Amino acid sequence: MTNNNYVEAKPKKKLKKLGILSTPYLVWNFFLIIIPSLILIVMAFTTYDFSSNSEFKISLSNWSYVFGSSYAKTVFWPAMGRSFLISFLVTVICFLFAYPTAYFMRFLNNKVRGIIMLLLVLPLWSNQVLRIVSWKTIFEIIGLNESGFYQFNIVIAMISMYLPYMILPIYSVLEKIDDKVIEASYDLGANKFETFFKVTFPLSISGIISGIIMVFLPSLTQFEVSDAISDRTIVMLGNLIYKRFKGTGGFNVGSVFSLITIIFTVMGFILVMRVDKEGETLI
Amino acid sequence: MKTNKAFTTLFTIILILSFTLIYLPVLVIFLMSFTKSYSLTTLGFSSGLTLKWYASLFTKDYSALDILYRYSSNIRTLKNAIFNTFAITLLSTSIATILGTMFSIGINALSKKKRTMMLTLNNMPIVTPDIVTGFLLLLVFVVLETIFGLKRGFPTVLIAHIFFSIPYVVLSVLPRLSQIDPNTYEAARDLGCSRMGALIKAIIPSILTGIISGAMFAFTMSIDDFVITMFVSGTRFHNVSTWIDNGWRRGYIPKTVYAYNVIIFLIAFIIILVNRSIQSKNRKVKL
Repeated sequence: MTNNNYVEAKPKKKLKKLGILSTPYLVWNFFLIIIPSLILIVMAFTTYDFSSNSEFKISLSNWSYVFGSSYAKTVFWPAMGRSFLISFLVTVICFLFAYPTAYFMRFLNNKVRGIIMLLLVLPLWSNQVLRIVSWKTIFEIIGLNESGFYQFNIVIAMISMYLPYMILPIYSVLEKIDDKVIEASYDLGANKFETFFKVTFPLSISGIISGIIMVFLPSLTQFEVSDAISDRTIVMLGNLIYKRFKGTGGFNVGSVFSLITIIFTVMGFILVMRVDKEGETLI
Repeated sequence: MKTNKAFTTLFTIILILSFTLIYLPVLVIFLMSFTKSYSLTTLGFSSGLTLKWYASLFTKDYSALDILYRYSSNIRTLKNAIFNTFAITLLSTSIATILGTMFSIGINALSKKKRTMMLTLNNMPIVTPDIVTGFLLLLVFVVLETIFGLKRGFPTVLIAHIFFSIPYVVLSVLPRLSQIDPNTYEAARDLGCSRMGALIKAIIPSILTGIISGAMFAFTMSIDDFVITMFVSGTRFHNVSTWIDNGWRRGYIPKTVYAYNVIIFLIAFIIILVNRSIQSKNRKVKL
């Protein structure tokens, strides 16, 4: 080990000159991630929103509006509850569909596997908004386009949209598991179930976590599905943000909603980075 | 043996169900693009079959195609949106691929600590929900508008698309880079290449497959983007996604866009198929 390191040390050092190529990326991300995040925080805690008549005054009024007023009781908390319930259901059902599908694909021969992979990425080329609109058509045709079914319909449409994002990362980690590892488990006397629960499943955890995050966060913040499927009657977290940005002078409260979303995003992000530092399961 | 068979059956059923769920809307779009009816609440087979939606993509004379007059201005704006989509996607994919490759070469040469920091920044936009990314970029552009008077539209959408495409290019190129011998660059320099020449002649060819798959990723994300585009595009600029959104909110979507969608789908199918067969041929040659 030490020997190897010694041999590699020299060229690596010289290579460092190339490191300068990444500096513009740091600047780029500074202006497009760090700066706007700071503006967002400032806007959440002040009354300034870039409009000409707004004052720069530090206040908690945005927060008390979201959490403390009658708005909280009638709009915010119900929307949060609904968003969490729906995205929880979508994530769980996606997982129940995705894991067996990915597992099954892992053991198919190369050619069939290639075709299934192709079929999995192809729908992403069909416009997402048009797919949502055609789910509305499907529910109309099968007679489920009634307000009583809206929440159910939203769940179905979201599963259809996000299922590939759960299957792909799980499949990519399952694919990397060496056949020899599984054979070794059998040779050591484990049966199929033991091999699955003690070898295959633990080795696929990083893919599962990426999949869960990649499905849960987008469904939590979806607004197009709920708007289209429910004719704008069902309000979710995403709809709250959308309305603030479409309406006039809503940036401050919108920033509060965004900050709440960012907190969940950071939690999910830390989780992903812990199991997958290089982000291999993200693409 | 018996449980084995039961499991295979169960897994096959789940696989079929998964694909049914994913493909049902795609199928509906396909069918609806061939029916005469304007209605979006039925498949419209009772109204008869037609190719007029496809024809309307390639002509300007909508009355000759028997398309209701009130839809013709929508079809015109759709064509505009299609043009925008391709302009944005082609430009942003090319720029993001070049920048992303350059950044990856840089990141690969960094020390472990800096590398982790850069990768954290890189992966953040991928995990962050589009609505938050869109809102953050909107804030940047609002500042730029206040200070420099930069109006939202084509340039802001282009910057946004480059922004969310680069991370995918980096994630595709980096694994390739870490596979190549770190001496390659130095060897090329010793053999008389300039810095630029060493990069282009020695490094780029060995990471080309990563660059191509990164570009494919960037293209796929950009051509279908909706949420981020909607946030940063202002009110006048539309790509196909924001055009459809705008259309259903007003209750008008000419099925021309269904025809467009089917054509794009088929083109993608052919491109991916050709790409795969080239790759498998290459593999055979190497073996």
